[in-house]
Amino acid sequence: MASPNVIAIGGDGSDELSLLDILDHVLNSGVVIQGSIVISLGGVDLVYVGLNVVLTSVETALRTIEADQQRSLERGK
Amino acid sequence: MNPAGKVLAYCVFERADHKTGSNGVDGQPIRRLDFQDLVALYSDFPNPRNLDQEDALRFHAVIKSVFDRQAIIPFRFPTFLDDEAALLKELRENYARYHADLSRLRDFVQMELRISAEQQNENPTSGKQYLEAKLQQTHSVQQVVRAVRESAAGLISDSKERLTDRGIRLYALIRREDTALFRARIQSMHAPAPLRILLSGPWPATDFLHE
Repeated sequence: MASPNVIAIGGDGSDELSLLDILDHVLNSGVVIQGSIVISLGGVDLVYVGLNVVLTSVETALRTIEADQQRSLERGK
Repeated sequence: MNPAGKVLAYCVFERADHKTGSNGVDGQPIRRLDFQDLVALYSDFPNPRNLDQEDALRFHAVIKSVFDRQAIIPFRFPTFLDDEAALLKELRENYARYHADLSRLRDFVQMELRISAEQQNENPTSGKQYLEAKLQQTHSVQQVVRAVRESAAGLISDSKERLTDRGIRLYALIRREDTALFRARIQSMHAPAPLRILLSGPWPATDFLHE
């Protein structure tokens, strides 16, 4: 039986954690080609401008989700 | 800078006979560029606009369709090049490195564990208390790392660790065929509170590429 402190992230993008995990990888992993085009505006990469609304660390997202769940439980009491 | 009229590069892999998926970002057809025994995937990017989350997920879907079957070297999203000739130049100039990495990592994937403390004493009353708490957390995390290594003994071919604010990210290189077994072993572990293990993968073995 899985420990409650060990959480496997699905990897299919079907939930918030999995989605953030995928975004974290496509934006931060992989080969960077020297000389490839950087899309930027005012020194800030546009892709990050577009994604920074959702891009936070997976750990932070998990804490937020759990806090929301806790609040929902308390409201249901 | 406007990337319109450029090409978006997805990944490189060893040539295989299987088909390489359908459409990529912007619904553009996925194109393949062969160079010796390597293949690079790319698509046109004809319309100027900002990229968003859906584009990143579409990019991921394309590389995953290949990675589900074999080792790949993904390009970081978004990698734009002037045209196919520029991508061919990249492949030609870095062929030896790509070839060596894909050959070495052919049967491997990367699993990732984020081992971190769920909560800390956010309001230490002194610097000493803060440092003691931090030291205790570091020891606890290291104990879990050791437990992970023992639990996955025989499965981890190589590994790397990266410190984070609240713990460690552990990257484990394992054989693709051992993915389910690795997951099962980690999921059977117990992380003592307030620690937590987030298990993610399989991913392309990007942390084990040659620099």
